[in-house]
Amino acid sequence: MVDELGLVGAVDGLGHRAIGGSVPLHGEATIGLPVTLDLAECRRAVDRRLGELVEMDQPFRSLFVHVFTNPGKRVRAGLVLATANILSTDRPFNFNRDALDLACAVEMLHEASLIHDDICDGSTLRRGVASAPARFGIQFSARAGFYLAGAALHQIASVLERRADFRERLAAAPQDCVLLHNLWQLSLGQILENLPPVNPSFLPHHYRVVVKAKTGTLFRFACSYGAILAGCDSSELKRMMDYADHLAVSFQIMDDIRDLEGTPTLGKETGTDLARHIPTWPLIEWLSGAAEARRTWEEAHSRPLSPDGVQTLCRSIVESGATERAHLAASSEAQQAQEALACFGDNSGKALLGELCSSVLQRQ
Amino acid sequence: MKIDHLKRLGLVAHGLYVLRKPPALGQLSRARGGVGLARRAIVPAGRNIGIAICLLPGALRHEARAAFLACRVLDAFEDLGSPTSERRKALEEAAACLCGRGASRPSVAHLEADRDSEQVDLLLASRIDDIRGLIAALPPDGRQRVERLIMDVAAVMADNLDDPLSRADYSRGVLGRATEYACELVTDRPVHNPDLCRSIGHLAQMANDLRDRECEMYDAVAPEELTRQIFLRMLPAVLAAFAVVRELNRDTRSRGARASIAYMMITTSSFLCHEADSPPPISRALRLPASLWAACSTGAFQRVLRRLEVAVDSAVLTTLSAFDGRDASGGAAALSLFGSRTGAERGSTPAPGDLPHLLVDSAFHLVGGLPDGRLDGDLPEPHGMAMMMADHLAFSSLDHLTADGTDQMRQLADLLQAAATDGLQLVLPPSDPRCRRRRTGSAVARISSPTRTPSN
Repeated sequence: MVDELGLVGAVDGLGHRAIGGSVPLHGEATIGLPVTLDLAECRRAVDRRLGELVEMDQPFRSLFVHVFTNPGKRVRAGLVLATANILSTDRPFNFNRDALDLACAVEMLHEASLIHDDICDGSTLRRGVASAPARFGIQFSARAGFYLAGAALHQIASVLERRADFRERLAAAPQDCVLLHNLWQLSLGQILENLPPVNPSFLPHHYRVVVKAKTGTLFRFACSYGAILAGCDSSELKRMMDYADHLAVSFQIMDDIRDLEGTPTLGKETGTDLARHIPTWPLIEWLSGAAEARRTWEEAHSRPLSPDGVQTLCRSIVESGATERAHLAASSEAQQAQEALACFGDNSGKALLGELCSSVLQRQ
Repeated sequence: MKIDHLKRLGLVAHGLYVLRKPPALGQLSRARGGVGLARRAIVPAGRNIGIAICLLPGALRHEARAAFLACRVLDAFEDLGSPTSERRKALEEAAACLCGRGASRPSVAHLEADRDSEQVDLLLASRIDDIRGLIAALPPDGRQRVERLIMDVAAVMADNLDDPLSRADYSRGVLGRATEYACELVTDRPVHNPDLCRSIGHLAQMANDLRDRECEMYDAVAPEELTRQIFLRMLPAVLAAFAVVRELNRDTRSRGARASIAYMMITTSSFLCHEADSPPPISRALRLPASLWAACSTGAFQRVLRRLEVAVDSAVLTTLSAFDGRDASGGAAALSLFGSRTGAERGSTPAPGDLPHLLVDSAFHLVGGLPDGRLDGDLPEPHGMAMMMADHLAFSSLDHLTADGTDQMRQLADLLQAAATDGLQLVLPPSDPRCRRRRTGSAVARISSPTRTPSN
């Protein structure tokens, strides 16, 4: 598996500048030939490139190999690649090397945040295998996460150094965009998620604030860099941010549903959010349905839940139809995300963004 | 006792007397000349900042008063006029007038004030010539320092009128610039760490927003939610404030100036504790005596500062203790923003030179408190929160990056990677063969340190 991903024999270093001061490039500006693009193709391209970027001589290599050989869906990378093609008039998809490197940087930041999330949440499983802190130790993993974030910064700097036009456009980006200096919103969201709403009646608002910060920040970040690289103007960027926000809510609601229903591909225990008393959208739907539900939740909220208690609660929520209502809400958000793209012409980038909307709604 | 000591005592006593009262606008408008106006207006216009200014020794006090009142005048032309195009013109005229560079006076006819503080600002704006007189009477160094402040602040305000800046950028440019000026004033040298000073301006802005219950601005639907949002956002600025003040304690020779700084820190910390529903560091009646005591020596100052740090730490913990009903107080040591080192210990070591260093240093202080072992699902609660706070501090270090500043990015990336690998031999995963070798004493783990990168 490691060899397939090209992790062995990689040369140019995860995050550190390579010898000579720039990241070696692969082929011409356009990597690979036009493809009939789908998410799987994006994922393969990103995984390949991430493999190339793993540095041989750094202390966290085993941990990064472990993380990168068990990849997620690479949704955020897909967002960068798709938005980088959103103004393309050619049908074929262009795997621009700058977009690919930015996509990898976004995935590095995402993986770094997941490593840290697993520490915060006490999660021993991630994507069906031991989480980084469970396998490599807590403090070691915390350090690895920060190292990886540093690597992402180097990666973004490398792209900026070779693209003066991109640098100029970034400097003039509107405030709606999420760039590096706004990334603190991601960690803010993580903390807010663990704080209960100040008033139960504010649950839906609290949920949206948390999702916007925790999930939406990296979605906006990915779309900002991709769309600015593509050359979008401020009104097009605004539409991209709308797309990112709606997609983030849809994505998170579906994640909440999977956490309750469990799927063979979930790769972690079910009901983890409930066990940590974190309000999810299905829970909000459930609580809005019956007074009994609110009483049950308040009881559950006042003490640590046993594994059996969590599973009982999961079943109650699913059987109440709350997950179905949540699915409708996720569909509505995905629809609004699609509508935000109306101002763009049909092209491969828009098609991929549409595919992302459909793919987040899959329950498996 | 020197005459100025007596004068200051009188000013402070009078300031404390009028601090909570509505401004006596009639008396203010009747005040004769710039000096009379400044003496009467400083506390109504500045509240606790006014008291802090009154604590300064004569020369510093005169300059600080002139600078502060000039900024209030700018604020009046920025906020109280309409429409925007006229406000910009009036603002520029006001700045030029205050600096003695313009012949025309901005009109106050179109300014409208509602709140008490706005009424005071309006009155100051209408007496712009008196404020200019205060500035003109300063020694050349002081006059130039104040004029630089006025021009810088007016430029940010004007930019903001043209194209609204982010809240953080605006507050760093206005209140942060004023903080930078205050640091220059009390140390009589340029500041070493302007970005730390600018962060204090951001902290002051967030404290104002908290006081004014600016829920909408922070996407909060209730005051308690606003408190949370602001507390979490201001952690980096709080660290910056204490770092700057520790440095000021070393570099400020004037006792009056140290008393003034201590007073500001005590009142600000008390406000934050109050908003977090946490015990105040020092009771209201003892704030001034504690400030005066802190001025006696650098050691006394550090002890007061340490007390404030503990109180602010506790206020943050109180906010985080709302974590789903779980008690965070048991993990106070693991969650301390300032660490377990005493103020005196930190006072004797150099402060991190800039904000990213300070934040990364603080983040890795929290990381250093995490367990070394593998996660088995039973991570004690404070460690999870410590990880979140470390994450937040480290990500906040990106806040000062410009979108196109690759040098800054490289430096921060190196900083993060160096901090991540620093001391790593102590926490190699149990499965690492280097770890086994180390245990037998045959080898020490080889850790490559991040490369320094050339400027582009």
